[in-house]
Amino acid sequence: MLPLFALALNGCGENPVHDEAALIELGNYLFFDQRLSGDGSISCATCHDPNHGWADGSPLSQTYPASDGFRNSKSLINVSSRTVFYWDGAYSGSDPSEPTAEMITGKLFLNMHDYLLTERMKQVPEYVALFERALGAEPSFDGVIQSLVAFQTTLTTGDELESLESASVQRGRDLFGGKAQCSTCHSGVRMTDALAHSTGVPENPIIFQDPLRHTAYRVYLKEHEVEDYMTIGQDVGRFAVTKNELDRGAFITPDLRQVADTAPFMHNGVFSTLQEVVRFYDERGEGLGLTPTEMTDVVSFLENLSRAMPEISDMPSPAYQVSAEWLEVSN
Amino acid sequence: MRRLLNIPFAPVFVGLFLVGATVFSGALEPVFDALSALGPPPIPADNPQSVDEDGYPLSDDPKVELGKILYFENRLSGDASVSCADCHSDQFGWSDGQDLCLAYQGTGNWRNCPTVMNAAYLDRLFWDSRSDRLENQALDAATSAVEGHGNQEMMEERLRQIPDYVARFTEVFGTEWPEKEDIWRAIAAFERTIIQPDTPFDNYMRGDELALSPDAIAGMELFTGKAACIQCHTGPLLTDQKFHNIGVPDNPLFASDPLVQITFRFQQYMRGVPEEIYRKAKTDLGVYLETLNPEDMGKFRTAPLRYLIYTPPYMHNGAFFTLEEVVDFYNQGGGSDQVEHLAGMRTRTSLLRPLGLTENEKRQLIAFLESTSGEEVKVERPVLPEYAVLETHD
Amino acid sequence: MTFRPSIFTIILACAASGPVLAQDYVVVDLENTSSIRGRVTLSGDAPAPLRLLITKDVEICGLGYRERTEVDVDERSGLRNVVVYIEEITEGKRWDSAPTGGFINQEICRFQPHIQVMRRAVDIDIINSDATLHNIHAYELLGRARRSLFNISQPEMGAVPQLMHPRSGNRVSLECDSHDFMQGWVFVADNPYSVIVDDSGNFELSQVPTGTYTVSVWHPKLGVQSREITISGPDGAETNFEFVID
Repeated sequence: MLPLFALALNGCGENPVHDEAALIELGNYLFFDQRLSGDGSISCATCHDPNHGWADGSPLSQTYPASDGFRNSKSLINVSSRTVFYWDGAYSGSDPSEPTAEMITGKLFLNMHDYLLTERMKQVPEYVALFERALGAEPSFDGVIQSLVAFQTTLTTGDELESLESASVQRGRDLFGGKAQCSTCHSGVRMTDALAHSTGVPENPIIFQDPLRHTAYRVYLKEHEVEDYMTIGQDVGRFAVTKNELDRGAFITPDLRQVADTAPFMHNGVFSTLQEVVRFYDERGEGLGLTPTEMTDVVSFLENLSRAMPEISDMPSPAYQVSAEWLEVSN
Repeated sequence: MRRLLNIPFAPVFVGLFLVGATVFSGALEPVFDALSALGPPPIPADNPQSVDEDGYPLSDDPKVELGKILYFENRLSGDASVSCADCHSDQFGWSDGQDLCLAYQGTGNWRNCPTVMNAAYLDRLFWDSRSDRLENQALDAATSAVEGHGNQEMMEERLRQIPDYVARFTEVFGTEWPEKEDIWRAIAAFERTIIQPDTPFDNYMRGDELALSPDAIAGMELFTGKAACIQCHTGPLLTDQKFHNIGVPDNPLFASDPLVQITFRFQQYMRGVPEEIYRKAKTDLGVYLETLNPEDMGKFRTAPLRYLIYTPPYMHNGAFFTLEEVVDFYNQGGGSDQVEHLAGMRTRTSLLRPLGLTENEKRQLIAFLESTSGEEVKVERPVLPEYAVLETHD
Repeated sequence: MTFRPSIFTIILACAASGPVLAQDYVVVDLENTSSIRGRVTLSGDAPAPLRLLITKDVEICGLGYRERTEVDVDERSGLRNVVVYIEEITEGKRWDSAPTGGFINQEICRFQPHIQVMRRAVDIDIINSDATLHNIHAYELLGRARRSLFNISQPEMGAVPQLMHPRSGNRVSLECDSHDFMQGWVFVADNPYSVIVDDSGNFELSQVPTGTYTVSVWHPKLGVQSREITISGPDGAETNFEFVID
């Protein structure tokens, strides 16, 4: 049973924001600080790397050490305008606080104990100062989440699409909303309907051939109380969250606005190029009947969606310090 | 089945009683347990294992063999960096040779690791006695954020990915797949074989008058007499398993190592101390963290005094690297009360006062303290089994 | 041939008044020096190498098992990875003629070199050459106990400076808190008469002034042996050491 002051340090509720810029600066530091992980080995930026479109450039993400991933790392670009989070849609709403918190405490992610993280923050004078400026409070786990959420709001490229450039791009746009039927699901300004669909993407076989990845996947299924998880050989997708058979193998439609910067593609990274993606859609089911030129046009359109990335850099993490007056200062 | 040890069936107990009521007139403590030889360890009914006809655990029991591999299995830790054997190493007396124990990487530890040797006999584990049995101590340490940082669901799935473990768990526990509760049962069963009931002291207590040197015998008389150690260090384990504040000096790393400071605050926070204590405490409050009773501030469970030759440094924070330093500490009457300002009362024991030991007496006392250690116990390091691909269905 | 002390050493001899500490080594001009040579061997069977499963970072550290040979011998029982040193010598040759490493490199999840001699209180570089986190943890060995000397987390490649200065003693063990199969050793020398045996267990301590010294050998797993050696003339001295495994 924790005493009341414990709630102030780590418990419920947000701190009022005193200085938004300081909050974002703190979030910037923390995003790149490996001490947010249990053993100090990885940070948010490990899988959401600015050099790889805020994803990681691999088909399947890594995880906390000694384990390995079974899903593609989602880019964080424009994350603050999402309404659903994760490939399986485990979190919905406009507030990314919960998924951010899970990314820190989850055993497959940063695997960090929230109270231990608070104490680590308190050992860095620069962070103590930033928490004070930003939130008027001492470091807390809630404050860490607030600062990371604030930082993530700066990972934007803007909503407006550029004016069309080439004829191929224009044709591609028409196909996107027409013959290629992409906008059936990739609709609206954010180019996603935020719903889960099963499109028949092929399984990524290495998940079940790699002991570390298969172990991680079973941990995920077990936590979601999926029966028969020991021998399932496919990615069950959103079914793990809803237990609705219609959701088996279904994944949340991704936002396509920066798609060309975030290869490989799909929930399991099985397609390395947009050409492969378009061909997949052309060939599935009854087929779309796209010509090679038309497929190239769709790809041109998709590539044209990319805007300039925000200029955000890695902040070197300030070191732990020990006060010379440790015996006198308050803990 | 191979016998672990050669112990006579009917050990003879020789009791020695304190001749010290006269030494400490007016001090408290009435009845003391006798010093005695160590018998077989207790084995819980819900975690049986093979024993010889005298009740001593056998090491060629499949449960013990499984437990031994798991003891060295670093995949039980979060990032496969550390196993029980890293902090409780047979190379360092089943502890780790440091003042403050090894911690999970990126973190610091704040206490000395108690030795696993003879831990099977203790009623409770940890310096603050928060764990009631070996099985739970192992689980607690393996999942603690500053020790193993493991997660039981992850452990379970990793073990299931390793065919050798699957086969062993099935053989020992009869389950189709390894179950997490059985990890700790197996490790505890292995730990129940890490015992030493046949030290020179034990043999002497069973009637072999030549087992102890004259110095050690003189030391034992001091132990139960002038040095009065017997007040707290009683029974076959040489501990009353109670809690005392003897004023051990603080470890300087508390003031100089940032990782230790992080863990220090973390522990207080996790155990739910009141805010005032969290803010002000600069020393390890011991069993107070378990009871939250100010009377318990600065008190630690009396350490068992066996296998001492192999387990320096000594005390809850490794303050003393040699038995000479330990004896000098008690000879001066212990240390000062560091918690009075926090507890609002004096919690330091009144059982200690300067002893006036001569150099020769100190030497003899140490000879006795060393006699509760037998030959060094080491094990052959097991080979960890590999992962394999599991079959799945579509 | 007699030893003719230089004026320098006479001045020093007069200056020395209190107990001579190991740190008080002084470089002097020397005449009439010779070598202590010998060989370190093992009697008995070396234990089989440990087989340590690589349970993480296999793409960097390697798949399968790491074989760690803790007692390494050549085909003529020459014992490898032994440090031979003079315990206390107050003056003698220059440091640059003795091996004085300047770095510890973590590469392919090994400490390179596996064992080395360093001069006390020098700055060295701790280098991470692997694309994964290493967490070097060095200990000074104190009999049956040990004390943490430094503990450095390096999530990325690069070098970090560190002072190599155990409080007491010379023997340092290296571990990695991330990879518990990694192990290395450092001998922190107080004088330049500290060498590692060659591949056959041979050693030579060169340019030793005449005198009587305690020569020790340290094998990280088998322990330390010492004996007194006297150098009286240009032929130096020859002495062999043998570790025994029953």
